[in-house]
Amino acid sequence: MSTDQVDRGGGSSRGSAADFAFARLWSVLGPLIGLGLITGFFAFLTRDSGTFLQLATWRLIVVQTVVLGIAALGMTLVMISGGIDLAVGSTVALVTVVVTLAVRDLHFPVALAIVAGIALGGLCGFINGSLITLLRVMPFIITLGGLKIYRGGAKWLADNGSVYVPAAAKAPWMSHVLAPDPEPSWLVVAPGVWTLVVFGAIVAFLLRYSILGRRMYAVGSNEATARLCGINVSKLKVLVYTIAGLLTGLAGVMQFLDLGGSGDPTTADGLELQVIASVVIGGGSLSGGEGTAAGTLIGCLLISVLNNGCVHAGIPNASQDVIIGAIIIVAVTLDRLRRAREGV
Amino acid sequence: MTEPLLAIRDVHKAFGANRALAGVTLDLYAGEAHALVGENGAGKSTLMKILSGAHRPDRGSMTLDGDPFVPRNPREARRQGIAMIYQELALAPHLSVEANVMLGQERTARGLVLRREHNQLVRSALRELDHAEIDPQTKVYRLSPGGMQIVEIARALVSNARVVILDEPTSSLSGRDAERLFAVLDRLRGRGLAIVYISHFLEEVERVADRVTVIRDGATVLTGMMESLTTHDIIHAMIGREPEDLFPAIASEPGEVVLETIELAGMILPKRVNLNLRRGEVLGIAGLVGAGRTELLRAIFGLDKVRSGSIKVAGIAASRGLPSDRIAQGIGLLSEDRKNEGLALNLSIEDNLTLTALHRHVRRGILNLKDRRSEASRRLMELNVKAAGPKQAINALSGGNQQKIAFARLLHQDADVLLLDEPTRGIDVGAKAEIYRLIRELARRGKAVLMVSSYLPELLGVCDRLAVMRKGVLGETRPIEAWTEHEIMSQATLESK
Repeated sequence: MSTDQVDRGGGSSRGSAADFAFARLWSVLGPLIGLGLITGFFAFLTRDSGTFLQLATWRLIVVQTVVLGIAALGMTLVMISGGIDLAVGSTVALVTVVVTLAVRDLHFPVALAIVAGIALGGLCGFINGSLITLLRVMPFIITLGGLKIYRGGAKWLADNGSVYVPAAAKAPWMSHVLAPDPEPSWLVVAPGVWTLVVFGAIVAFLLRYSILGRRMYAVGSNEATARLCGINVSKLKVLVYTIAGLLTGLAGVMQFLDLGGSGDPTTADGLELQVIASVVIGGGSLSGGEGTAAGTLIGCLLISVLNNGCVHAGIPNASQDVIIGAIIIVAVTLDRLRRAREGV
Repeated sequence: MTEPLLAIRDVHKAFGANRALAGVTLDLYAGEAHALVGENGAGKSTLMKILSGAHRPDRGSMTLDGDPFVPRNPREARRQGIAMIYQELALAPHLSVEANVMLGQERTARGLVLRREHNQLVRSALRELDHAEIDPQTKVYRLSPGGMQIVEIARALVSNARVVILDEPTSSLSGRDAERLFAVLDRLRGRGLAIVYISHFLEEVERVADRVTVIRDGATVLTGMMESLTTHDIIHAMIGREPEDLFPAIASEPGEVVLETIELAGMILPKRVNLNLRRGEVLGIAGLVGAGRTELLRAIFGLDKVRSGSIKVAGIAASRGLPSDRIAQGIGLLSEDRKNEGLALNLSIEDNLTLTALHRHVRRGILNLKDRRSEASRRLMELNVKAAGPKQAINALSGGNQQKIAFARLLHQDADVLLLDEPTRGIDVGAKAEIYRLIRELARRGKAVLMVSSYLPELLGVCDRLAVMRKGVLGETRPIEAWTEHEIMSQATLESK
């Protein structure tokens, strides 16, 4: 018995294995090409001064990517599993305040306060995930609530102003973590950047080579299928939001260091939108099931290059926003066109 | 005979190197119901897309009422009187029946919608379809699938359609809704509309159609009056070979009981079900849509809540359990809804195939992708799946090949007890035959199969024993020889004596 008669017409000719391999390559290659084009564009705009392609500029750009990048790695996990987290910016602000107060008022050593800050981020994520699964309310709404609550909490704790770690309590290494010119110099880039790279590699590995990672894609792609295959979807979501929260906590710690060891309840306002933009530019999808760590990091770098390039080229702040907005639309549109061509 | 209303002559269409249509000819007369049958991939959907203006033919001619008919887009096709009713209904669930019917064909005066005229039009259309009980102001999501279909047909009526094309219209309907739909189609025919009826169910085709056209490999291979053709003729034309070997005679030896339910009841359905499933047998459950058969499988598998009763797996009480527990106990479920539940359509074949038992490819906590890929490749060969490779996305496959992947996942999981819910729904005859063979083969290897189906010939052809479920109550299990189609239907539909 044969099925030679079957499937000759409609179905199976689309999307050969080669196409599919290309599609996967393209998901990282696309953002990379975008990054190259934008870099070239700013190098051209600033060709008279020639400063844009200097090592010093890039050391700064990568340092400016650290907070965004670490938070975006967490968001990548959340979005792959079909969720979203709008509370990222508020969580970062809350963490800067709590770390500072832990040192100032509770006399924690800085290192311990940092651990507490990361744990606080994890707790915020755990709360988000638990509410989403227990109340069965859309992640958009729950984390929108979180956005206001965590921000409000930060303002309340800090009494509406910035708070500072006393000079005496500061550790000498605090200023090195995000220093564009690192010590020792063989590090080439700041330790904070290396932290980002290491976590990027961990997330990439998790997504590709762990059961948990494959399950995140499955839940984001089709929850019902995941359930059918024995995955405890609620548990997995809580876990994903918690891991993402830990990463957001780490991003908050980096922001605390970037602020020179202080907490600011108004900092990182709107960070979540930049984070979501990075994930989307990097091939993630708001409907879940897609995204990679590498793509996200390229997306983050692209946004940093834009921010920095605009400063170099003397483009005003307002235009920067317009350009970033346009790039998000172009990136996602190109992605959709590619999919339509593949018949996905 | 008079001139055909719609004449399709020798239409060809290729997508790149892939010839989707290679000479389709079809004459459609006013007032007839014309069945269009063929396996998946035979070219039915391409033909429909050409008629609805989504594609243009490469070669061949089409005339509507004697005039050349080449719609350039769906709007134009609709304006000329072609109404398509797709398998997945195109309704806005949160709008009213009236708003859905009038969508895109609003009657206006000075830019304002004429609400009263809308209401009258919709009412009279519903009356004409003998569904006056549907209130035009009801939100569409409150309707049954059958009611939704009526809304689509009402839309076609209001637009003065002359040709109504229905693609697998009964796939989501219960038996009674399907009967009502057939009555509606008879009325449309009486009004002089021409109906194209696409279906996999030959029994339905016999009920509905006056004439039938079979296409295979993109070309018309048979056209004739329904009453002059037998089911055998039609199947033969569809698959291009004798249908005898559709149900392979692979004997199996029943062994010990592996699954037992005692007075098992779900939250609503099923009600107090007792059943025994043995190794090496295929136990079929027949019944109408909505009788609670799917709910029974889901309750056993732990996907739906169990109200009372108990379940024993291999003689051990295992009443409460999540799907993950059931999987660990060696039970696997094949979902009836391949697209929404059975498969994650935008993930790859290998991701879908291995999702349940990923742990089998883990070495020291790390997923061995190479190992996983080679196993997926092997499964694809084993089940004769037409795919470019394990990395291909599921949604590029035909329905039959998708179903084989869903099946392959149960094999990969190494399930001992297979709960199969409508295992051949929406797949072509060739793939069906392969799935029947696979089910019998699994029974021969000592697996236990519990199979729910609404397609009686396959239950009678594949199962060793069978029981009928009616309104959540499972009737007596008897050997398959003791059943006839008539006997099953009467148990499924009649009040118990």
